[in-house]
Amino acid sequence: MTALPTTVTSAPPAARGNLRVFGSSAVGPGHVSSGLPCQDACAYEILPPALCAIAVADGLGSAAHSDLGAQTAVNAAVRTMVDQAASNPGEDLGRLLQAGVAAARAALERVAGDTACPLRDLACTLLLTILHGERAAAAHVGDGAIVAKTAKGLQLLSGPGESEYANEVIPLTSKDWARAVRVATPLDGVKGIMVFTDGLQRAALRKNRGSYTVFDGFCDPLFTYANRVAVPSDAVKDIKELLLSAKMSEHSEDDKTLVVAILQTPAESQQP
Amino acid sequence: MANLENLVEIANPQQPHCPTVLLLDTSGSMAQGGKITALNQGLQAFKAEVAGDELAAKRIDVAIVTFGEGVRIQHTFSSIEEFSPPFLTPGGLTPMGDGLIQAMDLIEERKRQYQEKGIDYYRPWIFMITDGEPTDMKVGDATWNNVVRRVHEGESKRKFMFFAVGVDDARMDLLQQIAPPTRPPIKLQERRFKELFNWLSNSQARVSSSKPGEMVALQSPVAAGWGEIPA
Repeated sequence: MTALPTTVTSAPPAARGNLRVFGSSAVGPGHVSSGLPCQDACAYEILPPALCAIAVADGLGSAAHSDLGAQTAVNAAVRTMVDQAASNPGEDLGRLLQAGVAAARAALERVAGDTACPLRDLACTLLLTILHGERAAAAHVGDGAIVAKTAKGLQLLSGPGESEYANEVIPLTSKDWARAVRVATPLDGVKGIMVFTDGLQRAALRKNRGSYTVFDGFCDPLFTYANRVAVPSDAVKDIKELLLSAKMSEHSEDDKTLVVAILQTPAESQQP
Repeated sequence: MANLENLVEIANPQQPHCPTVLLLDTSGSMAQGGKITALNQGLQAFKAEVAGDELAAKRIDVAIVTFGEGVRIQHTFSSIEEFSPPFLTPGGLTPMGDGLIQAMDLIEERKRQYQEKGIDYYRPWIFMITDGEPTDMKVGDATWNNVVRRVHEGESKRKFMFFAVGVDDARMDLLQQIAPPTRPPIKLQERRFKELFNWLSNSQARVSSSKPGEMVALQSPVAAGWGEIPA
C-alpha cells in the first residue's frame, strides 16, 4: 500500500467582520496510552460577508486509518460547501449541506481507491453546519452534537442520534450512510454555533431517558468567551488547552473536538 | 489567554457503565470435585483483575445471581470497587429458568436506573455457568418457552449479550437450545475456572476501553485455553 500522508488536526482560525470561527481537535488520554493518533478532525471557513461553514469528524477507534478518513472528510466537505455557496449565492443551506456530505463520502471512496486502503479503515462520523447571517442548518452522521445560541437560549440543533449504547454508531463509510444522514430543521435568530464530537457529550449535554438537552453550565461560558475573542489564533490555543485539561480528561478518554462560530456583538468585540 | 477549564462545568462526569450479571449454578452437585471452591476463587480473581484495570474499574458494574436452593440475588448491582465477592455454598436443585428470568429482570431495572440518571452504558452482559440441567423447566413447557423466547429476543434485539458455560456433566444440548443461535454455549475444559475468569476480566476490560462505533473482538475461549464450542 502507498504511504499515507500525515494529517493535521487543527485548522487555522478565520476572522471576517464580526463573524468569527475557531476550534481545535485534541488527542484523548486513552489514545495516548494505546499509541493511537488523534482520530478527530475539524475544518472551517468563512465566505464573506456572512457565511461560515464548519465540518467536524470523529474517526472510529477500530478503523486503522480513521485519522486520515476524518481529515479527508472535513476538508472535502468544507471545500464543497464554500465553493458551491460562492458560485450559487442564495443557495438553500440544506442543498449545500447535502453536497458537503456527498463530497466527504466521495473523497473517502477516492482515498480508498487511490491507496488500496479498505473504505472501512477510514470510518468516521461527520457533523456539518452552516451559519449564514442568522440562519443555521446542519447535516449529521453519527454522534457528537451541534448547539445553537439564539435569543431564546441554547438549543440543540442536532443531537447524537438514537443509540442506546455508548459504543455503537453508524459511520460515513457504512453501506447505509445516505439513510443515516440526519438533516436538522434550520434555525433563525442564531448568534452562535458550537460543534463537538462525542468526547464532549458528557460535558455539554444532559441525558434523560435517552433524550438530550443542552447543558448551559458548559456551553454558555464558551459562547460568552467566544463573543469577546479578539485574536482567533489565541482562541484556538485556549480551546486546545481546554480539551487536553484534567477536567475534560477525567470523564472522557476519547479524542475531543470543539469548534465555535460567533456573530460578535460590536460593543463586546474588544477583549477586556 | 483565558483559562477555559475554570469557566466550564461538566454536565455528567460519570463514565459510561457496563452492567454484568454473573448467573451461577450453586446446586448440590457443585460440591463435587472442588467446583464450588474453584468458583469462589474465580470470583475473587475476577474482582482483583477488573479492579486493577483503571478503566474497567470505573466502568464495570457487577451483580451476582445464584440458582441452587432457590434463586438468590447474592449481590445487587454495584461498581467493581464496591463488589465484595460473596462466599457461595452449594445445595439444592437447579432452578435455572427462574435464575435466567431474575438476571434479565435485573438488567432491565439497571438500564432504567442509568436512563433516569442520564448515565451512558454499554450493551449489558449475562454470563451463566452451570454444571447440570434445569430442574424448574422442561423442554416445551410454559416456563421453558418463556425463558428461551426472552433470551433469544434479548440477543436479537440487542438488549444484552448472553454467554452460557457448561461444566462437567452440564447438558450442552439443552444449553444449545437456551443460548441464542448467534452465541452457542461453551464447554469448560477440565474445570479451568481460573482461565475462564481471567478471560472474563480481560473481555470486560476490552469492552470498557472500546470507543463509540467499535465492535469489540473478544478473544476466543478456545484460543484462551479454557473452552470448546461443541459441534
